[in-house]
Amino acid sequence: MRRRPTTGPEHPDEEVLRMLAADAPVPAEVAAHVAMCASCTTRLDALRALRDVLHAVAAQEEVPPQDLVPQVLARLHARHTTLDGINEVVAALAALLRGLRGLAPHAAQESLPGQRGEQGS
Amino acid sequence: MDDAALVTRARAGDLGAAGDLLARHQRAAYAVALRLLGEPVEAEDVVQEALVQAYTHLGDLQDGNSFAAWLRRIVVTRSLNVLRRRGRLRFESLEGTRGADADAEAAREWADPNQPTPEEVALHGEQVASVDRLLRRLPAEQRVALLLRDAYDYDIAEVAALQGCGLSAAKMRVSRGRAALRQLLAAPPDAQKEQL
Repeated sequence: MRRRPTTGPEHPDEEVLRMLAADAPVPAEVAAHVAMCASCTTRLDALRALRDVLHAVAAQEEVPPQDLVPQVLARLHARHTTLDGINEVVAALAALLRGLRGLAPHAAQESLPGQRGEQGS
Repeated sequence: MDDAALVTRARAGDLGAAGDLLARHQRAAYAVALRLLGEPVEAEDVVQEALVQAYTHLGDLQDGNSFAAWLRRIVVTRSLNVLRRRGRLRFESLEGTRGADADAEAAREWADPNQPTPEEVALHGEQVASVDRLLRRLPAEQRVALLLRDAYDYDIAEVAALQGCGLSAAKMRVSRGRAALRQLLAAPPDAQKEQL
């Protein structure tokens, strides 16, 4: 394979080449330069090759300890139970508050005569 | 049942569906944490916390079918937090940053069209596992930057944000990581043990 001659001094930096390696859009003049520049083409090929290797590595899964998900589920269950308990307490408090509100008008009425008396005096 | 359906059921409090969802993605999540951290025990802790966080924040997930990418992001963020707390993710001096000419020079090392490149060799069979081992020998900041950029395809701005560094530093870390990994891949197996 013959190398194409290098054209122009403006080689794109590695990150721009990496975008090109991933088929991401780059300015047309950059793509044109790379296509005609032996140095950039070589760098691009090297970046593509390394990316392929790392994609292959990333695609490999690892086996975690067997009890990982059971432990997580146990925590979530405990959390649910706690939340259920909190919800029950909140519901009881809400009922208590509703009951107190029901009493509140009487309490207010009881205080009114005194207030009226103060205002009237 | 696809991820979106499991997410919907898990959101409604179905722990069975949550279990299926988490079990389906635990291996990928653990692999990401293990590669970033290099320590199985730390990776297990991170994944456990990430799975709990994923379940308890399922309401934040807009598209149930993007659960895998969303979980991976949580794992990445938590893994980097661990590295940061351990002092293994530091800012690097910009001195010695290689320019385009140096990169081109390095790339020319792989230019012989009659020889398979180290990367081509590495793609065959068991070699992928050896690349995984070599990655663990890179300095943490280079390994993390390289994995985020080239293995998981985060864009360079995301790499910088996740690592808490500037764009230039992120580019430098990725570039140095690539160079270091190429060097390791190019070395004969025995020499690979000696390097770094």
